[in-house]
Parts: sequence; C-alpha cells; structure tokens
Amino acid sequence: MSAQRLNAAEKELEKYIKSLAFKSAQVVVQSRLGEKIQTQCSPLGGNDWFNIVVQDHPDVLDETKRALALKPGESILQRLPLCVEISLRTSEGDKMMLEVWSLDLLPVDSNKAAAGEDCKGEGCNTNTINDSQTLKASSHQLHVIYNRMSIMLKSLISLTRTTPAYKLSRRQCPESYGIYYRVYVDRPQVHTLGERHKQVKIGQLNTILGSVIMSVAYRTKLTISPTAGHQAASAAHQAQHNNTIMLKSDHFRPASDASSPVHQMSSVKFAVGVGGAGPGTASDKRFIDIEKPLRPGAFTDLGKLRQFTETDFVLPETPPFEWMLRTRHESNGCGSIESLNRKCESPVLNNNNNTYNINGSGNNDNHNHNNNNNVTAFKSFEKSTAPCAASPIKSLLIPASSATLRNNSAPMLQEQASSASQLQQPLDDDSLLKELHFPFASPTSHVNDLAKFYRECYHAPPLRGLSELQAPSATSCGATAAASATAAAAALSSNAAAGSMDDLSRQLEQFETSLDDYDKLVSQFGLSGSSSTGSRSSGGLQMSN
Amino acid sequence: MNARSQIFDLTMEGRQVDEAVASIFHTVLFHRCSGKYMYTGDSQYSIGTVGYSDVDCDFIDFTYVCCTSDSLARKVKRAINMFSEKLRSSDSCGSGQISLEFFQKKKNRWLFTQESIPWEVWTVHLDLIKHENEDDRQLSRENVSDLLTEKVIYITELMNRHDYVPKTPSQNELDLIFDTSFPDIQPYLFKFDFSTSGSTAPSMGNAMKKIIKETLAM
Repeated sequence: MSAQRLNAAEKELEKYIKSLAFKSAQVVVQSRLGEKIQTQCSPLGGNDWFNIVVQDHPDVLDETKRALALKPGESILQRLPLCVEISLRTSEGDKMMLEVWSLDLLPVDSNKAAAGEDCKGEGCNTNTINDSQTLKASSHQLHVIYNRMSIMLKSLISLTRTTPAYKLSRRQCPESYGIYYRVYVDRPQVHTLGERHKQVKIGQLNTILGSVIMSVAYRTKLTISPTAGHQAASAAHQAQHNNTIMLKSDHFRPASDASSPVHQMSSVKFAVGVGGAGPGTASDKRFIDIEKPLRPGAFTDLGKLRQFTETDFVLPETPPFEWMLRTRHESNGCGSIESLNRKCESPVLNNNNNTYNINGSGNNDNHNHNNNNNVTAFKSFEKSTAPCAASPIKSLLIPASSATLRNNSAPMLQEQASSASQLQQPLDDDSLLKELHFPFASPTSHVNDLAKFYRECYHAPPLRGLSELQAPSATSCGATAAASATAAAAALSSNAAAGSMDDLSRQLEQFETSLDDYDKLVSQFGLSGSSSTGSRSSGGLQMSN
Repeated sequence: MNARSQIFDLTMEGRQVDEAVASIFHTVLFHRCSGKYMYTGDSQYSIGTVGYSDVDCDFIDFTYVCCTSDSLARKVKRAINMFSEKLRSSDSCGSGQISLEFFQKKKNRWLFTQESIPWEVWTVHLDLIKHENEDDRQLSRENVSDLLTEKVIYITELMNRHDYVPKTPSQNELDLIFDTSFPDIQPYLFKFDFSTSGSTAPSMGNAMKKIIKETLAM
C-alpha cells in the first residue's frame, strides 16, 4: 500500500520537476527577448503550473524538448542537469557567453550533505526530510513542494531581471548585437564565462527524489575581442556605464594567426584610438602624423626622414602687435603680399628641401641653382607689384655679404648651416621666420635663406643718417642675438626702437639749439629771411639724409 | 513568536527613494502572493494564477518584477509616496525607514480586539544624499542599481529558505492569514509602517504604542 503511494508520489513529483524544468527555460529565454513582459492574473483559476502565468513560447518549448530528448515513459530525473545558456553575438559574428541557468537534481544520498551546508536556521531542520518521512510522502507534502517550486520560479523570474545580460538584452538591435540562447543537457559550462564570473544559487528543494537545485552563473566582466565590433563594445559600455572598455586579446580565437601579440596590440590601439574614449589618448598623440597628409615617395629612404614632433611647429611667444614695431620702416602693402606669396610657394620649397635632403649635401650647385630659380621667380613677382618694385634691386646688393657667408656654410652639415645662418641673420628676420614656420617646413630648410633674401628685397633701403646713428645699438643687438639665439626678440627690438627715438630727439634738440648758428650762416650768405627758412628745412633734410 | 526581520540600509538621492523601495517591496510581495482561492466547497478550492509585470525604473538603472495587480500597485505606491514625501520634506533630516510587515490575525475572543502577530518584517533604512554634479548622479544611478541587484538576490535567497509561513487555513479563517480584499491576487496580510527624522528604535516604540492603544481600546 505504502509502496504504491510512494510510487504515485514519485510520479507526481517527477511531473512537477519536469514542469519546473520547462517553465524555467521559458522564463529565462523570454526574459532575454529584449522586451518588457506582462502577463495577466487569472483569479478564477487557470491551468498554469505553479500558479504563475508563464506563457509558453513554442520555439523554446521545442528546443527544451529536443535538448531533453525524452522518449515516452522515460524519466526526466536521469537527464536532469538542464542548462539554458544565454550568449551575445555581434553583427561581425563574434560570440560571448553571458550566463548559464541550470536546474539540477542531486541524488538522495548526497542530499543531507548539501542540505547541511546550505540550509541554516531552524527552518531548514524542520523541513529536512527524514528517512521515515520520506516513506510517508503524503499529498500534503506534495502540496508543500509545489508551493516551494512556485516560489523558486518566482525567484527565477525576479533574478532574470537583475543580471547584466538582462540590460544587454533590452538594448539589443540587429545592427550591433543579438542575444542567443541554447538549451542543453549537461553540466553547466561555466568556464566560458570568463574570469570572476558569479554563481548564485536560486534555491534548493529537498524531495524524496533528491535535491532540486536551481542556479545561475553569469559573467561579470563584459569583455569582447578587439575584432568584435565596436558597436557591441560600446553597447556593453553603455549598458555598464564603465569608464573602460575591456578588450580581451585572445579569448575567442586562440589558434588563429591574427591573434599574434603584435597584431592584437595594434588592433587594440586602433580600436581605442577610433573610440577616443579614454582621456589619456591625447597624451599618446605626441607625434604629428606627417605620413597621413604627406606620404614619402616610393623610393625614399625612410630612415633619413625626420620624425616631426609638435615642438618643431610651435611658434615662439611674442608680445602682441610686435610686428608693427618691426615693420614700421616697411611699406604695409608689401607685407600682405609677402605673406600670400609665402603661402603659395611653401609646398614647392618644401619639396625642394626634401629632395635635397635625400640626395645628400654634396649637391651644392643644384642647390644654388634651385635657389636662384626661386630668386628669379620672386623677383618677377615683385616687379609686378608696383609699390615695391624699386626697392629689391638695392636690397639685393646689400646682402651680398650674407650670400657669400651662406655659400661658405653650404658644405657644412645641415644643422650647422642652419644654426650658422640663424646666428648671422639680423634680428629683424625673426618676424619673417616666425611666419615661415608653417606646417611641414623644418627649421633646417633653406626657406630661412629665402626668407632672409625676401625680407631684404622688401625692406626699404635704410636711411643713411639713421643707419649711422643706429649703428651702435644695432651692433649691440647683433651681439646679444649671437650670444643667445633664443633671446626675446621683442625686448630687443623695442630697445632698438626706443634707442633710435632717443637719438632722433637728441638730434632734433641739437638742431634746435644750434638754430642760431644756422641763421648766422644763412645771413652770411646774404639771403632773405623767407628763403632762409626753406633752406633751413632743406638743410635739415640734408642732414637726415 | 518572533518575527523574522530583515533590514536593508540604502543611501541615495531623494528622487530614487520611491523606486528603490518599490523594487524591494514588490519583489518581496511577488513572492508572498498567491492566486485567489476560490472555494467550491468548505475544503474544496481552486487557486487562481498570478501574472507578473516588468517595471523599469526612471531614476535607477534597474528593472524589477511585480504582480500584475493595479490595486496592489496602488496600495504600495501610496504608502511609499507618503514615506518619501515625509523623508524629503524640509523638516526631515534626510534619514528614515519604511517597513513591510507580514502578520496574521488571531481569532476574536469575545470582547478583545483582533490581535495582529507579525511573522516577517522587511525594513528599508534610507539615508538621503545630494549629488553636486551630473557625473556623481550617473555614478549613483549605477551604484544604486548594483545595490538593488544584491538585495534582490538576497531576498530570493531568503525566500527559498524553508522558513515559517502561516499554514493555509480553512475557508472561514482565510482572512486571518491572507488579504482577501484584492480582486486578482491574494497576498499574505501585510501593512506598511514608516518613521522619519532618525527616530530611534522605532520598532520598540511602535510596540509600546500598540500595547497602550490596545489596553485603552479595552
């Protein structure tokens, strides 16, 4: 009699466990569909298992049936570790396991040990099924188990909304990634969940058939391989609101050639660069990527090309409107044309410079020739500009000495030549040099020479008297410049300007004081008073010239 | 009989209070609700089924599950609202607690009023903070979400312990155990209790008040 009852209770219990397995799979998969779920209460009683309305999704039902592969009359108990695996697959085809939900049944023998470990408190003791009670599994006990399974299923429903995969599933879209599930009968494969995955036991229910254990193991580090699409990474990032995107190098394809460390490093870098997520990326970009806009030619020696850094292109600090002080003696119209002209000519000059570098320093003739060509080109341009047309001829004569100096320095190494020319250049060149520091022009280029020449062409010929007066101050300036190449140009030029102003005023004062002498001189010549003023003024002009 | 008591300490912004408390209490109530009992005879009854809904929080990055029952949602919301308004009001010092208490009634013994015996109490103790900038606010949104995840896991763990719950009674004693006022679900009898502004030992005070009240009511 009791054996029959036991058998009937076992059968009933088996049915419960089977239903729990099916419903659990439904709950887990449905929670990952990416939509909010709402099922309505049915107070008048329904046929839903465990008094919870969980609608059956036919696909999931089929999958679960296929996984369990129960033949008619076969018990579910032998098949049981039933797992539902949730994974993420990106649009690029990369896959990441997110979590494994499992329902297991521990045999009766290990029941007590497990119960002793997991159940604490008096409640557990009162409900631990003794051997004697096991034999008397009544309908009441079945009812209790049914209720407990109901609670277990409710816990499962609640917990499926808390793991990271739920948030990911709510944000899934076909363009970036999708959430996939797999139902299988095996031990839960938790090794695919990455480091520090979390394991949560949802519930344990001791029955006469064994302990029903429901648990979940889920990934906490949402890592993805570098090739696995930026979108998924960013989606994961969005979901987790983490500051960093963890990129795991060779988790998914350890055997592939593409996973060599160098390649991975570069691709990781690339991904980070594109994402631009980290605030630290700015500091990494110390090198100006000169290869992007200007690629070296096919047969150029890459080893000889300089790596340009930002410092090469940083303009020296100058006080505002300093150029006004400097170009006071120059005509304004020329200045503007100058700058335009420089902009037009700069790429050509740069190219010349490059070829020169590559060919080596022994090519002086060619170099000079190039320069001459440039000179003529500039000259012709200057001639077309009417206000400045007269001045270049003079200025070409004046820097003859500097031209010879340049010829002397030509056989030297590039750096020496440039430093020498820098030292020999008058201070006024600074304004031109500053403006010639356009991108892609190196300080060692011959643009500097050209600039100097150019400036000389455009300079109005200095007034003789003034230049004589300025001579001491100018030499002092030159000496200072030679002593320290990086001395503040502004201070010096303002000094020079102030000095020349002082000289001029002193000179005027001198003229004023010796006005009587001049009058006397004029009166000695026996000229009239009205013409004497005119001659005096012309005399003044004479002096200044 | 001693009631089981669980206390959750949470720190968050004022506007997150309603949702945080609701997510904890609804998770508990979801576990403590059964379908409506429909009696066909004295001992013959059928049990209705419970539907569930996902609820997305606005101020926390979190989704929780509750019973699909408007009347239950209203009742819970009203209680939490009252508490949160008081907690966030200017005369509050930004700290308080709200508890969900499950109880069962004892039979009337002629003159005596019905006695309520709590068997499980869930308390959420809250401290309010204010965030200065949006970054902190965003961080807190995630932190509170993580915190609630922990709490929900803890709740499910406790629910699956084989602890005491009142036994299902016969039809005439059903409302001593269950709240039969809801049309769609049948939770265990429960009530809310709250206190704000750091009133110390509220449970003790409440118990004393209750005793005095009941004595006077005699």
